[in-house]
Amino acid sequence: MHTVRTLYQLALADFRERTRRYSFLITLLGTLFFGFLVITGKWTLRLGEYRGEYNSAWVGSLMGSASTFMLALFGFYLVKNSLSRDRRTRVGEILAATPLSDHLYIASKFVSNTAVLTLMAVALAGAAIVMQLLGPVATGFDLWALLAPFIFLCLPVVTLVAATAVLFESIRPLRGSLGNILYLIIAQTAIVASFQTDIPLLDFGGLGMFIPSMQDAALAVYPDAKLGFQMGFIRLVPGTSVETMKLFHWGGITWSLAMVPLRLLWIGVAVGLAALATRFFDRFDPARARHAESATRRERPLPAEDDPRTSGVPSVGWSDVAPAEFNFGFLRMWRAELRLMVKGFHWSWYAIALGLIAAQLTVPYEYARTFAMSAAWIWPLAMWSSMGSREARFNTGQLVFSSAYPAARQLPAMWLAGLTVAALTGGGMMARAFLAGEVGHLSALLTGALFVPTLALFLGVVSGTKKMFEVSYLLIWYLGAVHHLPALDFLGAIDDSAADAVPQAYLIMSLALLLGAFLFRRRQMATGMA
Amino acid sequence: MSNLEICEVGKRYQGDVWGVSDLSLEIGTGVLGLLGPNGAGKSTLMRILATVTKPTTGFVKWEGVDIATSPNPLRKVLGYLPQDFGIYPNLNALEFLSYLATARGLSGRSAGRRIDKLLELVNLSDARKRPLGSLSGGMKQRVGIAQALLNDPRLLIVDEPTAGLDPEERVRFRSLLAELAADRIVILSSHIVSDVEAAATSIAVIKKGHLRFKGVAEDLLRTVEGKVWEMVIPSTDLAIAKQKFVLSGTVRTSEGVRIRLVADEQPTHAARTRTPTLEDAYLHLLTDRRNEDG
Repeated sequence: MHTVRTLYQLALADFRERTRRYSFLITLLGTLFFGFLVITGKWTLRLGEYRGEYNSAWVGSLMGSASTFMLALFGFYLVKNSLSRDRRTRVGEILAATPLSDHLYIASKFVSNTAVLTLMAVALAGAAIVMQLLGPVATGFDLWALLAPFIFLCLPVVTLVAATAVLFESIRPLRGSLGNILYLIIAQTAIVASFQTDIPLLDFGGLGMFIPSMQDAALAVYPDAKLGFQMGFIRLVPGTSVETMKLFHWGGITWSLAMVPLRLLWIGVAVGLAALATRFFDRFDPARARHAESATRRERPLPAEDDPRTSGVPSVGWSDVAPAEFNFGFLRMWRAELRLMVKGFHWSWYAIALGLIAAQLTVPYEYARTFAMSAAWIWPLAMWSSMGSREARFNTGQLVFSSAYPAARQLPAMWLAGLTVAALTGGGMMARAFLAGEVGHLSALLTGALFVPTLALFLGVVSGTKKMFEVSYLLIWYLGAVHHLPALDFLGAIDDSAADAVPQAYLIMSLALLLGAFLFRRRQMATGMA
Repeated sequence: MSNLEICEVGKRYQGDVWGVSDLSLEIGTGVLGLLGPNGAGKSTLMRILATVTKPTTGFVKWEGVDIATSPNPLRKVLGYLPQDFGIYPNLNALEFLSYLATARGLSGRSAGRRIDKLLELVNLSDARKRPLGSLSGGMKQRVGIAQALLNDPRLLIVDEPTAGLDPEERVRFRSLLAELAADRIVILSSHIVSDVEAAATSIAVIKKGHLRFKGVAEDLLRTVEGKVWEMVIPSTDLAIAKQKFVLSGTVRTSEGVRIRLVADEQPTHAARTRTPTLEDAYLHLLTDRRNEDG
């Protein structure tokens, strides 16, 4: 009983801390905006050119499955900050000195993560109810048919995402950007598997529970129909819209207790992942972190305050310090910013970056343009995401911003350093496009090289965190670089985007973002917010 | 001669909370010790003087120029050690100081020479290549001190600078401040009276955002002349004595507890006057005003 009460109190405190932040409100509004996209048909669920009538069963399944996959993809990034906050605020060290067990602590984070994501799902379920009540066709209101998909599809996935976030935060190498990229790959693979598999055990999203029933209903009306299953921001055939698609009536499925064990299995997997996190959890002991580090790096003796080399009477006095001479050099500032940006990465990071540049130069042009370039410009994610937010994250703002002209000197140097990273990591493709005379592609690449670090700088300055850029960029990269959505093709990977003047749009956007970053930083310094 | 003028400065935070209010001071060459209890507004004032935050009311002028509208002339000659500052854990001391020296506009050659000497001065020469993330709290504080001196500042603002330093380093740092103050303004904010007593040529006391005293230590000491007493009481009476008097010290002895207190009148016949210290005077000032406020 005492354990349950402790778990409840810990999870509640964590939940309150998160939901009382301004950023949570923004996230909730973003979630509701996604609900709006579904309501207005921007995000659709269809079987070829057919869709169900907007009755409770269809709307519930549409919104439930949309919520499930959006939370599976991006919910992770919303909640993967619980342990890191305790680490940063040092609350973790206080908790570590109490009798609180590792299992209970991790369990509380798992419960809190689940609660936050469930709240998002509840918001989307509310949107489903609104859609049913105010939507174009409202044939009968069945609350259970509306909400059941959220319970059967969404909740198990939410627990799975919550546990994965705790696990990633517990494993040191997965705490940062590498973990963010890895998760996107895992989530994307799992979603594709869930879409395509006939094996219920691999269907983590639970789509298999109702898709066959939908297809049967469609075939009953259109026996010769070619059915598939698509979900997402789907481009419809020109001249068609969600409203003009061919309709069929689907009365839904009977959500029964027999379906529960399979969904409970995924909750069991989530509990298992949370338990696994306990094994890796370092209980905020910096020594354990250092041990882990020294296993991969050269052993470095830890300094002590009474180290004879760093104590005793110094050999020089103030009069021995040479007078200061001033001559600001922008090139030196840029070099210093670049060093700050690239420092601290393992040598293997550079090896892989070099490998990706080599791939840009050697694999067939089309592969280089798509696969090699998309990999090359997701790899420096952690470097770019430090831009603009570093001073806030490391609490160095007072030192840096009390220098002369920080917005005019340091900010442009930081931006240029980010640009340098983009130019270097995508340099192979740029050289190749230049040599091949692919002017359109080269200009798209140059615009992309301008856009990515500028976006990073702007979002870093505005938010003071790495996360806003990492999540936004991962979304843009996923839809633009991986799925080649023309409007988000900042890489110039497809010819369509160049024809649609996408590079020009990104150029204008980059200049606006750069100006925004500069003005915002100036405002922060003027108001003492920086 | 450098001159810093603070005129009716106030800073309001959210919820209509004033960090400092209607504060005026004129500061010249030497060490100004800024004393005050926790939450008095010392760090708010330090941030305003360091151009990190702007005052809501009033103005601060450096050599006649308003630092809120034109911060850069001051920033060029400012050395600032905030109370709570961070470092970049993957850089070493040399790289971190080089970075800040570049941001402050030092020439490459001058930065290199100064950083070498400053690291020697703060006893970190042998730790110069270690990642800052692996240094102890005291060593990070010394890196902070070195960065504040990078540009040979004419105005040096140090907020609780001895936090985390061992006693030997504290003494050395106080001497350094005294040496620096010969030809520049040093503002030393602290709640440790002994630090201010050792280094400051003048003292300002802030409480609840208001200036309560400005003058030299002797002036402050004179306010408690003949008001500092010492006596021995049974240990069972200690709680009552704490309620009744402003105690500036207690020592357990075989006869009971020897207490040191500040009072206008002789508390008992057994009480004997003692030579006042700055701590006595500071406590008297704070409690005196507290009674007035209450």
